[in-house]
Amino acid sequence: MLWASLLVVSAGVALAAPLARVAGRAAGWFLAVPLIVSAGLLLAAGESSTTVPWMPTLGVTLSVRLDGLSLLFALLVLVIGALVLVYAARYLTRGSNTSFFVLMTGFAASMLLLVLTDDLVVLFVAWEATTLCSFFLIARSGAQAREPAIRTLLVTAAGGLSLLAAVVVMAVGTGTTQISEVLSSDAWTQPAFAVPVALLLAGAVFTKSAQFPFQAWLPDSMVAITPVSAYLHAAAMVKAGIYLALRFSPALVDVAVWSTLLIASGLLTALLGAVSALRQTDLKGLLAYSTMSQLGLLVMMIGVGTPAALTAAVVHTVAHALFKAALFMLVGVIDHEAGTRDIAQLARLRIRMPLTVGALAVAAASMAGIPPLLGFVSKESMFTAFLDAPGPVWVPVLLTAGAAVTAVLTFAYAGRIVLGAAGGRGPKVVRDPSALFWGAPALCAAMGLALGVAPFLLDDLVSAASTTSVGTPTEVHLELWHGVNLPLFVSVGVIVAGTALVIARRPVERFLRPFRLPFSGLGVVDALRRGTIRFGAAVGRTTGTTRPSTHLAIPVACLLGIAAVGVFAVPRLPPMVGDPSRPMDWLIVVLVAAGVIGAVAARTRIAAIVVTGVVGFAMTIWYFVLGAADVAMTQLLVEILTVCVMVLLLRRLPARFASRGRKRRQIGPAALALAAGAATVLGVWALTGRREMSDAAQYYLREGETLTGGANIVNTILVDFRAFDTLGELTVLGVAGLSVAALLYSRRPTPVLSARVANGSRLADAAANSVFVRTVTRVVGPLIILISVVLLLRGHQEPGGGFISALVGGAGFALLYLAAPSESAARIRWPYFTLIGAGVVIGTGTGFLGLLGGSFLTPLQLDVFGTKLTSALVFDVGVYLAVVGVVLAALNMLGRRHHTEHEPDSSSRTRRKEIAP
Amino acid sequence: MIGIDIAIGILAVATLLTTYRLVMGPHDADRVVAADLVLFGVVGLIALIGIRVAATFAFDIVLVAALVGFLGALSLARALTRGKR
Repeated sequence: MLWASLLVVSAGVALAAPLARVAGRAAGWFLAVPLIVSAGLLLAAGESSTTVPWMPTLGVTLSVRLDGLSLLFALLVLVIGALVLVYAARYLTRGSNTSFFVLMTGFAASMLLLVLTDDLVVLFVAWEATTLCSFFLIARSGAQAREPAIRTLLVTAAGGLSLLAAVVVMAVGTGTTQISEVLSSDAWTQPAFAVPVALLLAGAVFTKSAQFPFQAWLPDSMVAITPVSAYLHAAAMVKAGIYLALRFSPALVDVAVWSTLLIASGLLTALLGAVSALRQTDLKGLLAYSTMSQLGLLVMMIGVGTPAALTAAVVHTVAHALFKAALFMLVGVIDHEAGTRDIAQLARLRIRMPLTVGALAVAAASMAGIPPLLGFVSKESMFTAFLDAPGPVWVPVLLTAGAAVTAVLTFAYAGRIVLGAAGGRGPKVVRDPSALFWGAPALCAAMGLALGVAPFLLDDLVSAASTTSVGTPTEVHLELWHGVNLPLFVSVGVIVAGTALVIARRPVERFLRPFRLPFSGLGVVDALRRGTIRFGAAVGRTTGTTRPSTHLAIPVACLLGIAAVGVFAVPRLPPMVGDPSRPMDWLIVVLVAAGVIGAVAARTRIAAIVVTGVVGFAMTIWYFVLGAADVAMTQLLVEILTVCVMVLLLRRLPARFASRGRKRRQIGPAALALAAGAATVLGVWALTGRREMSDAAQYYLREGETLTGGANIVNTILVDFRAFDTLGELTVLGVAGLSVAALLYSRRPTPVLSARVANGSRLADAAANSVFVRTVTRVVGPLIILISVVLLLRGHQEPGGGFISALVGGAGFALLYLAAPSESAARIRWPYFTLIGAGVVIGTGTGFLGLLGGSFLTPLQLDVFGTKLTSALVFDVGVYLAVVGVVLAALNMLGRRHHTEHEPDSSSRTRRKEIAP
Repeated sequence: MIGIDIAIGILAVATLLTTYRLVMGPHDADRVVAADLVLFGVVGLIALIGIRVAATFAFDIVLVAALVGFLGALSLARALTRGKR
């Protein structure tokens, strides 16, 4: 039955779009049917619960449960929803209102799920669904609604997050997400659990039900059309917070923080809303503040927490939903017919709407608490409950006084509504529209009257709901006439004082108008938003720069942090194994130091490259002295080729570095650099040379040659043992080559800057002055190629292998480039991309060939006439091709004169002509 | 061996002096010439140290360095003319 009622409403959501398209605004008539059917199903169901698994690993189930409280709220949501839909069928303009109907029915479905679910997580999901539906319903009202919609979303979503936190705390604290089990858990006796949950739930309640200090969004969201305001902001969504508070009341009623917060915030909101409502001239704005005020009273009652107070809250929820929905819709009728809802402008119209205004008066009388309406019954129960409130004697006095003042103000603004809507004298006459329009709201108002005359009709419903929120069985009997007692005197006093205020309404208005409450408004939300954005901008500014220096400083600072931790965290270092330093190391240290200082101090780019080269050469000796012949050779070759490539870039850049600015500004970076250097030195000193050779190294030295047939351990590691790394590196090189191409094809490089070279000199004749190099090339070129091939072939046994031989070959091509007499002759017209591709394909192909020998990249060995042939050689050929391709690509693309993809502009073309040979 | 040590010392001093010129050199051309000299100082040192520690592969490095080492100087010379041939 429960599922059937949910499914019927969901079917309404699904049908809303096609119906709205076919039937236009009349779709409201049809869409009201599923809501009424669903309400009937719920009434027939009785107390029951069912469960469907949803996320079993999280222990979350789609469980629904119908008890008194759920039934009461579900009926309110469904009945008022149906009436609002019927009303909307006449209120809306003709034409497509698809989004309205989809969102309204969607809202009804989420609200129904919210009140029916017995799972905390589903409760949160439904809660957020109502928030989103509300956001879209406000936002669809046009451009002026955008800001209010965003504000509403921000406030209610913040509260939703508070609810999520509460859900998590409850789920973890009690070990279940079943609300009924959570409520009966004994974890609530521990303040460490109950107090945080109370605070978080109060956050959710206050935001959703517009309580101080989160009340600002409710008047703001009145930009939405009237059916939306009537349903969401009077009867349904703002009641979600009330429902939540009532639902968790049995567990939280003994938590002092909960009661204090609810009573304080509710009282403040009630007074604030009532005073603000008195100041409003817009009837809808007035109703918004009135809603706020009435919700404040409800929150107060829940905060008091006695059975009588909770019962009063339940009754007042019903009464408020009825009269507020009626008031909103009737004000909408007047607005629709008269074209305005401003009291001042209505006074210039001759309103002849006895039925509409009559219904409005009945609803307003219920709000004011005049007998024999439901509002009187609820207000009477409220005063009874407040007068019996527990605690020291000043508590009931304060509560009753606060509620009485609110009630007086409520009476006053209720009077303003009726008198304002009654209009005045003017030429334009406004008459009652068709009963189809005012019928639905009038029905709401009439229900308030009927239930006021015969309140015992509500006995069963209210008893069941109170039982749920009190936690113990509660029998309630509602009566219009309680006999002569203290609450009656309070009510009489309220009516008398209220009548006086209505009579003196003009002086009161004049008195109140200059007061502007500094916290009732949107300023707080907006200021918070602006502050957040400003804070975010300030945070972003620290790193939101394209200057590399900032982004490098952060990792360096982190490195210092790690070093500081290391100094304290590493307790004791093992002793050094042997002495890792030798006398000739100091030569290298001095060379490196000289190079580094020179590089930091260099003013011209060439100087920087040259001194960096010195460091590179020193590193070559260093590797050699440490016994790494392969690495030393690679280092030397990479150093020289780097210089060749850098020179190609250098001719496009200014000779000198840009000025580095003031000396003082360099102190910080210098200190950071020195500290980072010290940290690194410390790390290397502390963490190396303190153990014997690793097991892996011993294994390579012992087994390497027998397993691979190669004596060069470095090379066998590269191509046999850990060839996967080499494959990765060769792919990196290939990708780097392609990236250079992509970059240079996509944007034109900076033009070459010409040097002042005396053109008359014989030295300037490129063809003649390159004779020396060309002659050398003729001899050295073939030699380089030959050596490169030798290095490739012998790599498995002696220093060499793919990378070194390819770098030697690349050096040969660099020589060809440098020796050419002109730039056009310097181009090497080899298909370098094909070379790169072939290299990667051969390398990977060899890897797949290894699958024959067991796994990817396993080398295959073959004995041919006593010579050991291995597929590692093929792999090396792949490395060779890829690296040569990359060197060729760099030389060719960085070294060429023109860019073929773009038309060079005239200035750069003339500049290039100057340097063309 | 003492002779080798003395040679290493002399070459080291020469390389350091060249490095001084390289860092201080008033003009970029001075630095480029000094860089060439440093490179070949380093090559000589590798040869001598190779003899000193009886390293088998010192000659391979010396050969490769001698063959392609002058490319650096050649490139830098091209840099001095800003790419003009």
